Amino acid sequence: MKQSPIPFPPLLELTASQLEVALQNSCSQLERLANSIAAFARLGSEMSAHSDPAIAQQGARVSAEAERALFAMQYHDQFAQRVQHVRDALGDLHDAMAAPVTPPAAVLLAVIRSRYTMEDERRLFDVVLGQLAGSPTSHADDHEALRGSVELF
Amino acid sequence: MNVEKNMRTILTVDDSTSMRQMVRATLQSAGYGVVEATDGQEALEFARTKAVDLVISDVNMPRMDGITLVSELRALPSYRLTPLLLLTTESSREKKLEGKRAGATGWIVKPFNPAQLLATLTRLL
Repeated sequence: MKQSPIPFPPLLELTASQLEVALQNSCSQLERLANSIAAFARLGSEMSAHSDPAIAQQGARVSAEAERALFAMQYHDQFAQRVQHVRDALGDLHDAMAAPVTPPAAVLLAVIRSRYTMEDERRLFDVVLGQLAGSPTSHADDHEALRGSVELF
Repeated sequence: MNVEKNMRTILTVDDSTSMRQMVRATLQSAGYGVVEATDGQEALEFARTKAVDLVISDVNMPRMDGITLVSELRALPSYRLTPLLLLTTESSREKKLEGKRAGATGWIVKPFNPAQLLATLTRLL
């Protein structure tokens, strides 16, 4: 029995769509969570200004917890960006495979790399595909150390 | 978008709803008034009609990115001296330099620390 070839373009399209749906579901829930945390932050702020020291002290604790939650929740935003970039790369790959003439690898890789917005995404790309893509192989900045940094010009 | 009276007002610009919510929660907890835009273009259209005390903008956004927004805002007389902060996952030196050349006041790498962000605003306002 003759085997059918693996249908790469529709499989790539399907995978990108699955990621898109997961992303949308996850983001809508996060927005609800962010609203709740924002409400706690406002409550903490109001309680902190209360004339009763016991209530003000509780308010400060609520504010501190809300602040920690606000910080931690931002990692979801980074996660969502990464998933979007993976989804976009799959879309690029799908388009390249479906095109009558396959574009040069360097062109496709340059497009995929240009979508990245985080230094550690570029580092990972360069470790795996840097030589093929002709992208830099060394990075001076330590992105982990820069997270949360404030630089005034 | 409504600008609240009698308080310092900050324009926040980000295409991520949850990020805008987190920045807003942080700013409102410290008593700042907040107006929001979902991209650089919307922010610029607002800025052409009203001045704010400070702008916090993401960099990578559809329609108009944060660095272009900074450049465009600096061309408006009412925003020539306004502190303009870029809040982004980007941490490369090249991008920071682009932001600085465009006229940004500072660069904050996400995730932001709420207390540190508020301390920065106190310093600038």
